[in-house]
Amino acid sequence: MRSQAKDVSLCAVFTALALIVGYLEHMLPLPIAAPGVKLGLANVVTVTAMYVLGLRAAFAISMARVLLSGLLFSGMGAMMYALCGALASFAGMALIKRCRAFSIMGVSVAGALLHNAAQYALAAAIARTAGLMTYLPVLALAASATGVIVGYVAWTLTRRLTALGFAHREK
Amino acid sequence: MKVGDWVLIACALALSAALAVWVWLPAREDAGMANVYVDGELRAALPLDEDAVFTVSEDGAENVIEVKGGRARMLSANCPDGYCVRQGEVRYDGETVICLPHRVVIELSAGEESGLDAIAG
Repeated sequence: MRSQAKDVSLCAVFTALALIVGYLEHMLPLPIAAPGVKLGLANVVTVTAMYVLGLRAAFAISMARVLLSGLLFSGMGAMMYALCGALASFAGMALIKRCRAFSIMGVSVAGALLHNAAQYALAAAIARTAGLMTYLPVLALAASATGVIVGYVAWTLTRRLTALGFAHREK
Repeated sequence: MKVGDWVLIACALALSAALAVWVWLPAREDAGMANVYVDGELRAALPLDEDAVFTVSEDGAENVIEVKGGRARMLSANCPDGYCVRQGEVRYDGETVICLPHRVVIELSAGEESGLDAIAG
């Protein structure tokens, strides 16, 4: 039986989770020192939220997380990139999700690709240089890989949460 | 996993490969000049055959560019992430070292012979 209080609490839990995961990620050393390459584990929460709580809640969670993360951890400058990535990524994921040819995996990969692409575009615009192009192949590959990993985790989470009765009917 | 997922992943991988080829395959020539841009504005053109150190200091944001042995790199920077310093050396035409938070870019170009040895402004 779903109540509003339960929904709100779930959103809060998701947001907190996304925030912490996003922060912890930075502590993991990655072999590729290209700016923008990261696991994007926080996306697990966004994607799961899309399937368990619905698009609107997921969007709210995503925006809240970016804002809080910027205020608490990374600062306004970095928040710009995160916001850009998150918006582009969410828009794309929402569209892909509606299309029956894709499963949660596709949504996740699309999200990762768009996130990186948007951040790259913003960086190129701000630094006013096309020199960033050397990073494009790395970004695309990293996004594909992380998209699959994140997709798998999100899929598992969604399944478990749905089985436990947390999911609601998507319109 | 559905059909669409596989198509998407395949496309992403193909795109990565295509980009990799496009960016890295063309024959690389040693560059002649290291151009330093701040916010898109050229601040210095350092010939690579002359060892030099150039500092950009703006509103507390400091980047030190070094040219040594025909290569250029970001010697130090006080930006929050330090990616620019980690990027290491560049020596080929078209390569760049970028400090995103400070919007400082070292871009290598072929460099023509000109009457000037260096331009700093």
